[in-house]
Amino acid sequence: MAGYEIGLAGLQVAQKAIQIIGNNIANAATEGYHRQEAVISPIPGNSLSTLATGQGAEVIDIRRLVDELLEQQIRRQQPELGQVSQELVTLQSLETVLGNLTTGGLAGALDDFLGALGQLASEPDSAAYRSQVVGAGEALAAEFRLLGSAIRDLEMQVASEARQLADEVNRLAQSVAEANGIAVDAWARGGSDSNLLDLRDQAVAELADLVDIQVRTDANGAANLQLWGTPLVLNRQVSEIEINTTGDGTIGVAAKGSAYADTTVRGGRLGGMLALANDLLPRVQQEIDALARAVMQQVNRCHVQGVGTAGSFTELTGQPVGDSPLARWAMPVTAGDIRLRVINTATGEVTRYTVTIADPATETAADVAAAFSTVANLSANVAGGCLRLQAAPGFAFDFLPALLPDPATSTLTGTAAATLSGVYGGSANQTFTATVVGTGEVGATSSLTVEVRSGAGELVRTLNVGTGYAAGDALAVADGLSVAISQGTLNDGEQFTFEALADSDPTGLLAAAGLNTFFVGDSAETMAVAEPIRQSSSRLATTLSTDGIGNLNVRRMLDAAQAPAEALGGETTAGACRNLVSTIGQWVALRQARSNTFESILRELTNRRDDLGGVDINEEAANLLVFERMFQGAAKYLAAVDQAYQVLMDIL
Amino acid sequence: MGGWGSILNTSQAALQYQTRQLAALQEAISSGLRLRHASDAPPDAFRLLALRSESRSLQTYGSNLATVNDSLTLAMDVLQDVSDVYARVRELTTQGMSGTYSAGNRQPIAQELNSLLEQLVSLANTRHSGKYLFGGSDTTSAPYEAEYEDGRIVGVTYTGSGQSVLVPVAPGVEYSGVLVGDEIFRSDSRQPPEFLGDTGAAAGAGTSTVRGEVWLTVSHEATAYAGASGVAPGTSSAAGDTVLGSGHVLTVDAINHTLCLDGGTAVSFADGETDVRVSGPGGTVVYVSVAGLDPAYQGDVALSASGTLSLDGGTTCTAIDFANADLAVIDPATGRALRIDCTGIVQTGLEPVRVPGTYDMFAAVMAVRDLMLNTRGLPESQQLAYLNEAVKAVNEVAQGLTAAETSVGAGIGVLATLGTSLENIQARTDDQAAALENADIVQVATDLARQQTLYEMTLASTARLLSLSLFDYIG
Repeated sequence: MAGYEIGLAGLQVAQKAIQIIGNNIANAATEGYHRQEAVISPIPGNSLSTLATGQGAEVIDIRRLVDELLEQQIRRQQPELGQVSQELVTLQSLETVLGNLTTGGLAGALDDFLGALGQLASEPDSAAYRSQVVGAGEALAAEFRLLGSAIRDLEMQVASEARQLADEVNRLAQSVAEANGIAVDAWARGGSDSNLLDLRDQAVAELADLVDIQVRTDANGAANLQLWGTPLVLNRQVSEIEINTTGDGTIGVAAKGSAYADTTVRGGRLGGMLALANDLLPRVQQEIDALARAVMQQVNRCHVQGVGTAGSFTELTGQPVGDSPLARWAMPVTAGDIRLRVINTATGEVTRYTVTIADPATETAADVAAAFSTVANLSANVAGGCLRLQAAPGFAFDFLPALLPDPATSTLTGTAAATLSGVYGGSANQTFTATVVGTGEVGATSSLTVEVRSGAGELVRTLNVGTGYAAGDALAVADGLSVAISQGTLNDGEQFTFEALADSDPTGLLAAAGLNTFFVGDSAETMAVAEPIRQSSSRLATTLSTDGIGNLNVRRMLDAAQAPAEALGGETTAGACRNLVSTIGQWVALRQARSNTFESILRELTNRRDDLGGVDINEEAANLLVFERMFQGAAKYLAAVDQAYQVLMDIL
Repeated sequence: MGGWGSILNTSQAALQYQTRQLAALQEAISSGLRLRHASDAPPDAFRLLALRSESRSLQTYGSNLATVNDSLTLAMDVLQDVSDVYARVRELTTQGMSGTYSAGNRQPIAQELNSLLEQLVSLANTRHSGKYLFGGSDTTSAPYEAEYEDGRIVGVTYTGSGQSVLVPVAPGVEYSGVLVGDEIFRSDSRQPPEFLGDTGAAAGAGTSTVRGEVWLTVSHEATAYAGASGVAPGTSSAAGDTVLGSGHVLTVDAINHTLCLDGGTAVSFADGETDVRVSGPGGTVVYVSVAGLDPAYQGDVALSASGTLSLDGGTTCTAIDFANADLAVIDPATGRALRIDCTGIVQTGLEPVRVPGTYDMFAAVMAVRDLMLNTRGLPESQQLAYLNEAVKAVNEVAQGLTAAETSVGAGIGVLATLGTSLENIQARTDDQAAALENADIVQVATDLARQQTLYEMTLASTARLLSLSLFDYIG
C-alpha cells in the first residue's frame, strides 16, 4: 500500500544506519578499522504516473572510508621503519656490549693495558708492575672475548628470530589468503563484508612491518601480495617462505623447499634481520677480530724474542695451529730465517742457529718441527696440533736477538781479538763487516784502524785502534753496538763480521704458533693471556738482554702496540678501537634518526588516514541523532498513514 | 575537526617523545654526564675516547716521570753525600801531607780513610724501594763488591750492568732513573801514564790500558863487565845491584885499590875481595868481585845489567828490552797493559805509575790510605811526594763527582719542567674531556623544566580535547 512502503523504507534505512553507527562506535578503538557509512539512495516513484512521488529510500551500500593511495603510502613506509627499528634494537645491544663511555669498555681496557706496559718500563723487575700488565692483558682479552661471543650470540639470535619472523609472515599470509577467499565469495554474491576487509588489511599492515610487500587488489576483490617480486599470496594460495643458510654462512629468504636463498632482500623487520646477519654484524665481527689480531700480533712479535726474569727456556709449547700450510694460518707466516740461541747451562756457551721457513705456502707445522729438530741439543714435534720445542738436558734456548760477543766470521790472524757488545737499536737485521786497515799492534801503532761497513756496504765508522786506543775499551760503532779489540796485533785487510738482529723472527712464525707469546688465540673470541704467563709473571718477556735484566722489550712492545698497523689500514690499535666504538655509535645514531623520521612520516600518514577513516565519536553521535530522528519521523509517518487509512476504513 | 584518532596519535607520539626526553634529562642530571653512549654524539664520543687515551697515556708518563725523578733525587742526595765524604778525604790527605805529621800520626788518618772507604761502598750500594741506584739495569744485586784483607778494603769491583734503563717519561723522551756506577764513580778521560819513581822508566809510545795507579817493580837480574880487567859481579850482585842497562862505567884502579861507579865516590878494596859494594852518584849500587883483578889495571870498565819489570810485585816478570821504547807489561790481576819506554831505565826500584783520567773513587782513597799507612815502606820524603801526587787523583775523582752531580741535577731540572708541562697538558686534556662528557647542569635543569611544562601541556590539552563528547549533551 502506498505510503506504508515509504515509511517502512525509512525505518529500514534508519535502522541500518544506526547499526552502522553502532558498529563504528564499537570499533572506535580497533586497530586498522575504517569507519563505515551507509550509502543511502532514494527509491524512484512509479514512472507511469505523471506526478510520480518517490518510494522512499534504501541503503544501497556500506562504504568503508579508505584512501587506497594513502594505504599504499603507509605500506611503503612500514617496511622501512620495520627494518630500521630492527637494526636499531640489535645495534643498541651491541653498543651496550662494546661498553658505555662511562665504564670505558674495550677502548678503556686497551688504554689500561698500554698504561700498564708503560709503567712496567719504569720498573721492569717489579713483580707488582708485571702482575699489573698480566692483569690488564687479561682484562683486555676478556673484553675482546666478551665482544666476540656477544656478536656470535647476536648473530645466532638474529638468525633464530629471522626464522620466527618467516613463520609469522607465513601465518599472516595465510590470514590474508583466507580473507581473500571469503571476500571473493562475497564479491561473487554481489556483497562485501567491510569488517572482514579491515581484518585483511590489518594482516597486510602487519606483514608490511615484517617484509616489504606490494599489494594489488584484483577485480574479484582478492588482495594479492608480492614479496620482493615473487608472489606470496595469490587469491587463496600462499607461497610460504623460509630462512635458509647459504654455503658462506649467510642467511637468506627462500620459497619453502627451494634451494635458492636471496640474501640481499631488504625492508621490514625481516630485511633488517638479514642486513644484521649478513652485513652489519659480520662487519663488526671482522673489525673486532682484526683489532684483536693486531693487538696480539704487535705485542707477541716483540714478546717472542725476549725473556723474562725466569730466563731462557727448556721447553715451549705453542697453541693449536693444525696441519694447514703456514701461509694459511689465522696469522699468516712469511718466508725468512728464525734465529735462536742454544745455551749450554753448565758452561754458558751460546750458539746461534738459524731455522729457515722457505715456502710457507706448502710447509706445515710438522715441517717447522723437523727444521727445529736439526738444531743441536733441541728437539721439536707437533702434538695435538701444537708446536713444541724442547732443549736437551743441560741446555736452554731462547730467541733473543742479542749480539753475540764473538764475531760471526773472522779472518784475523794476529794476536788481537775482537769482542762485540751493546744492544742493537737498528730497525733491520744486518751483518756488519769490519776490515783492518794497517798492520801493527793495537794501541801502539799509529794509523791502525778498523773500518766498519753496514750490510749494504756503506762505511759506518772508522775506529782508531792504534795509538791513543786503550786496548779492550769498547768503541761505539752504530745503533748501540760497540767493538773492543784486545791487546795484540792486527794485519792489514783482515776482516771479521758480526750479525746485528733487530728481529729474530721476521717470519712471524713464533707469534702465530704461540711460542713464548703474551697472548694466545686467533680471534677476539679466543684471545687470552698465555697460560705460562698467567701462572707466573716472571715469564713476561721484559728484556732482550742476555742477563735477563732491563726493559728494552717492554719498550719495544709498547712502541709496537702504539704503532700503526697495516692490518688496520694504517691505524693504531687504540685509534681503530675508537673508530669501532664511534662507528657503531654512528650506526645507532643514524638508525635512531631514520627511525624517528619514519615514525614521524608514518604518524602523519596515519593521522591523515584516521582523519578520513577513523571513528569520531562525536560525529557518530551527531549521525546517531539524525537517524534516531529519522526513525522517529518514519514511525510517525507510518502512524499518520495508518491513521489516514483508518479514517478511510471508518468511512467505509 | 579531525578525527579523534589523529588527536590520540599525536598525543601519544608527543607523550612518548617527551617521556624519552625527560628520561634522558633525568639520566643526565643523576649521572652528571652528557655522553653515556657513543650514539649520543658519535663525533664527540670519538674525541672523548681520544682524549681519555691521551689522558691515560699522560698519566703513565707522569707516573714514570715521578718514579725516575724520585730515583734521581735520591741519587743526587747520595752523590752529595759522596762529595762530602770526598771533601773529608781531601782534608785528611792534606793533613797527612803536612810536615807536622809523623808516621804515627798518619795511622789514625789512614783508619779514618778506611772508614770513609767503607762509607763510600755503602753509598755506592744505596737502594731505593728495593732497587740499587747505581747498578745500571741490574737493580736487584749490589753493584759494588768490596774485597778485604786484614780488615781493610783492598779492592772494590763493579758488578753492576753497563746499561741504563731508559724509561719513557714524555712522548719521545726517555730518561734513566738508575745510574751506571761505573760511569759515575770513575773518570774516563785517559791521559798518558805518569812515572813517579827514578828508575828511568817512562811512558811508552803506545796506549796503556791500566787504570788508576799501579806500582811497577823494576828488578835487577845480572850484571856483566866488559873487557879483560878481571872484575866480575860480586856475590851479592844479582840481588844487590841496582844498576840497569848499559850506560854505566866502573872505573878501576888496581894499583891504588879503588873502584868508582859512574864517577861517584871511589871505594877502596883489598886484594881478593869478592863482594865490594860500590855506589854511584844517583844511589846506584854494584857489588864487584876483584878476586881476579889484573893487578896492574887502571881504567874504565863498561858494565851492563839486565832486569825485569813487574806489575804484581815481582811475581810475574817481563824481561827489560832496553832498546824497546814501547814495551807492554801486563798486570796479571786485570789483564791490562802498561806500555813502557825502557830506553831510559838505569836502575831498579819501585815505580809508582798513575794514569790520570782513569781513577775510580775507591782506588783513589785506597791509594791515599795505603800511602798514609806506608804499606810499601817508602822513605818519608818519597811517601810525602807520592801523597802529593795521590791527592791529584782525589781531586780528579772529586771533579768527576761534581760533574755527575751537575748532570743529575740538570736531569732533575729537566724532569721538573717536563712534569709541569705534562701536568698542564693533562689538565687541559681532562678539561676538554670533561667539557665533552659532563652535562651542563644549568642547561639540563632548564631543559627539564621546559620539557616538563610541555609534557603537562600535552596531558592537559589531550584530556581537554578527549573530554568533549556530544553524548554529554544528548538527553
